[in-house]
Amino acid sequence: MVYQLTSLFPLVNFNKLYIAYKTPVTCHISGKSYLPVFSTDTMISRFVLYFYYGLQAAYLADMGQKLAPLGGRGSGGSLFGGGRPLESGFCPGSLSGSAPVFIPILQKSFGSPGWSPGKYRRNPSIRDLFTGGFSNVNLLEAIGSVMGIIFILLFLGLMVLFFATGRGRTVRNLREIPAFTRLRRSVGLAVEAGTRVHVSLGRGGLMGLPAGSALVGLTMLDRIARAASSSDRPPVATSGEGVLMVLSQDVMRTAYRSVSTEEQYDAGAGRLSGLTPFSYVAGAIPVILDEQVSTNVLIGNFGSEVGLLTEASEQKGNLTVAGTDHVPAQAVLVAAAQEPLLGEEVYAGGAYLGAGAFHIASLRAQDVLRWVLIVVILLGAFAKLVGLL
Amino acid sequence: MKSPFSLINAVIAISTGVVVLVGYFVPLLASIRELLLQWAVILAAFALLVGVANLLLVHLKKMGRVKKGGIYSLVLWVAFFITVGVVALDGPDGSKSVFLFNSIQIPVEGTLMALLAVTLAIASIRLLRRRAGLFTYVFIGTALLVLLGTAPLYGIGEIPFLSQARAWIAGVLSVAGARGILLGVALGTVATGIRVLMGVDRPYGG
Repeated sequence: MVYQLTSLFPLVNFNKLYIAYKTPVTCHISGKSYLPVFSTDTMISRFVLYFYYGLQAAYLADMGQKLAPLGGRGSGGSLFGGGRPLESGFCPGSLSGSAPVFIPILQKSFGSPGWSPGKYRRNPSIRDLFTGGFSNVNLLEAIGSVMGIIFILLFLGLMVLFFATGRGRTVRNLREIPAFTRLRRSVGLAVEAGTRVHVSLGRGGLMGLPAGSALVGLTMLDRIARAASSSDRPPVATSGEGVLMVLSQDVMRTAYRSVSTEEQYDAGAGRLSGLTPFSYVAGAIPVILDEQVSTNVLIGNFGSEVGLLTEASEQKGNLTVAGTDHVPAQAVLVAAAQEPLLGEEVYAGGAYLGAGAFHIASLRAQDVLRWVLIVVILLGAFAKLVGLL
Repeated sequence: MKSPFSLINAVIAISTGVVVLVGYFVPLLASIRELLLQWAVILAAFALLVGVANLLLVHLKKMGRVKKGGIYSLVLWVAFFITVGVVALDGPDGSKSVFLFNSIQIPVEGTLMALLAVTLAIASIRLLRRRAGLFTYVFIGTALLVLLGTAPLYGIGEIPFLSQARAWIAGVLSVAGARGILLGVALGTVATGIRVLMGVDRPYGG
């Protein structure tokens, strides 16, 4: 009969963040099937093991105590550095008492790199640990992953809750952001005056963090395209990345189709203006200067080169509403844009331009979670101050 | 009227997004996530080609209509084909390709960078006119302090007090402020991602 045993021990002498384990080894013990057994030193790591890795048995200190004779955590040393002979152990499923069969299992489990039968090697190098057949789990990463899942589920739950409770409300109670107030007015004026709205989506692709601001830019483009669909000069979108260019065309086409003005769509209205920061700006400036633009909306991932776009807009006397996720560029926009959007204001564009109740619900969820994060940060700082962390 | 493919688009986009998101947290799905991301990289590369074609077409139209600045569009076309030709024949690391990059691309972008410095100085002065107030004065005062603390003054050299003040502003005040802003950015990014995953925002023709 073959049994599976996975052994896992905290390596307190090496790095608290790492736990080493050997993938299942075979164990021949009298006729019963046992679950893998894991031992860990903290409740958080037990939680991680149990729920995140799906391990079916994870034990706390009692297990550590049983491992003490083997040089485990209970002895205050590492598994390899305990220095005492392997005289007893436990077998999975028989935690009530130690079992002598543990020695051969341990010999197989830890035959390399830190232990070999008959020669109890002390203090193997960390390199051995990483290269000698052990899988390593970065506990900090694992804890972060679990917290990430919880955070996203909490965010999702709050958004759904606020959406469900706020759908019927006629008053939205959003604080006024002058940039969006002016933008709405300006888009209306552009339609009446037959001028264009220029939306610049930045250079951030969809493969990393800048995707957030780029997606907000696309949402705003959608709202502006719908609002200006009856204009003689429909909006024009510039971007510095191929995917964004394709998506901007698609967003405009969908917006025109949804208001039955598909004949307004022109593939040239969604443009790639350049692929490097300054070539992108150099390609977008002629759009601002030469294409009868009256309003510029710069939403996306920009560097400080965005200052050249705002300057071109100033020269033409246009309104510039600008926001980015890039902190140095935000500093530039504070000085250079007529209506800068700072921090999370960038992401509120959909809610303020009437993209739907879910956008408002997501704003409310952001507000709640911001306070949650503030409390967590303060608690963490306090815990650090008093030595708990 | 919705496109007949909008539902299919949404299903594919949402399911792919969910798998990639869950793959970050659950090791079992990590390989699928990697595969999907590789596909995304390949698609992004093709989108880049589409983008370049779009750029050329836009400038071709400009030339055709003899619009203002049409000559620059001609320059773009000529420069594009010369660059493609040189890099195709000489390779991306060849001496001629590197020469093109070092002698044209870098000086032009450097010039724009220098222009940006002047532009920002003008923008700061304009800010005083547009939004004169306490925070504007603090903003401009801080900018001047950091500038003086960073660049040694002609004939005087580095002033220790200004250097220390600059280091404190850059290391404490600006970091604290930037982290607050980044917190808002992170929350906004997560909210945007969840909206896309739920199909509320559909930037893919939904």
